[in-house]
Amino acid sequence: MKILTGWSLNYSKNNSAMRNNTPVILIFHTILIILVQLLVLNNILIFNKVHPYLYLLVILFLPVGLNKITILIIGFLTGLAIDIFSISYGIHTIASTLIAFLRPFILSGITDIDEESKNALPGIRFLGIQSYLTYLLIIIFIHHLTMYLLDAGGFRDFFYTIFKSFFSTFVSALVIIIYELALLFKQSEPR
Amino acid sequence: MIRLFQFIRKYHYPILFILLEIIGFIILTSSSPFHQSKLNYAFQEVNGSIFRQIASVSSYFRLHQVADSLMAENARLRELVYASGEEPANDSIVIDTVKKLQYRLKTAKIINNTLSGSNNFIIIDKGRKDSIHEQMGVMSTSGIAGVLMQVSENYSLALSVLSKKFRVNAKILETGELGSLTWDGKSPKYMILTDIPNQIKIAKGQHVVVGPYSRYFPENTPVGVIEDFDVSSNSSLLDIKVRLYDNIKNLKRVFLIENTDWLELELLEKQFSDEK
Repeated sequence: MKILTGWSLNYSKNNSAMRNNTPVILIFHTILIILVQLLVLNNILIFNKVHPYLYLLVILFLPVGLNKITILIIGFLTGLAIDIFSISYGIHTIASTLIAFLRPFILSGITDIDEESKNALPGIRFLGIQSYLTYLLIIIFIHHLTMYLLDAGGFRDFFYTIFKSFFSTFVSALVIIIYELALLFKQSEPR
Repeated sequence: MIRLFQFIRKYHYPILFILLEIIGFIILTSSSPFHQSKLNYAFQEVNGSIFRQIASVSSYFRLHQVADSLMAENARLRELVYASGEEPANDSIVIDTVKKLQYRLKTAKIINNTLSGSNNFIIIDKGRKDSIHEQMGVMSTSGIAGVLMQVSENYSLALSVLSKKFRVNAKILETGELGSLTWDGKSPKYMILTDIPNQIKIAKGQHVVVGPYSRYFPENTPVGVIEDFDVSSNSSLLDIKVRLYDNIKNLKRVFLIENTDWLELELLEKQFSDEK
């Protein structure tokens, strides 16, 4: 709690240019995304194979410079919430925590994080389309591969697991990009 | 001691990560609904209570369909009653109580249904307080849906037929050939019928029903039709693809079926093994 309030105070102080209710907007979208995921997307099977996983956007769209511990905790809780309602026994928790852990490393590998861009949201406008797609696809793929490996219980049927991961990555990325372009475009300031 | 604190402080990020992952793996390993842990019950109750509300709203939109299918089923059942020589009055039917009812049915609703895992689950809106217990079958008017595994106070968790762990004794209606019906983890529309040797003649379009050795469902309960078959690559058995009659995705109203004979048999067995 301290970490979150500290961050949002800091946030409003430093960036008067940006709308200083971004934490509220992010929380609103987090809830909306999770609801859409559980009530709509979990009932849609693409080609009778995979669900689109929009909830990754919650972890992907956290501010660039946000405290690593906060990102980790948010990732864990989001995964856990999806797990409980999808009766998936931990696979979302494990995969989401993993990508929340890796996110800072991947982001710093793709883009520079300096003092001014600390509060930026890693969207299409901020990263530019190329970096954004790299960021998105790498994280989603790692997440889905972990998830499907755990679900299959190992490397049995490995080819099918890999195929499912690639296909699912594509589907989730599509849904995430659509959501972001439609609803979050304004949130991410261009560099 | 101080060194330990310094170590934790320095590496607090990876340590927290590992701790959270361990929690995740703990949840993962409680994953068999065959051991009923407190954690699973808690998840089930949370799941059930929230989705119950949602399901009641969404089921409102299907009332027409449900009414139509109920009338159709009533028609079928009336046919059976006519065939046995009884005259169905509008409000009551005489049942011959000399013959014991082997199967008891209760009605219930599905309030949450997973579809994409390698084992899928169904949450039912009845629990212990509605005298539901484990090992009851879940079926609909035109197919089977699963078996109850875990029953908490208000809700129950069933293992869906779309689960790699699920197996049911099955029979090809036209020929009487027996086999085992299971799921391969791929499409929710098909199950795989196995244990049938190569030499047996099979044809597309033959009907697959529950066989005589099922603990949960009455023999001849419909399941699906044979859509495709092939010689399995690594054994002398056939790989038969069965298209399910029911689309589990849309299933809302189900029967919970209890095989009272089996309970008696189990008690008998238990007595026998206790006496040993």
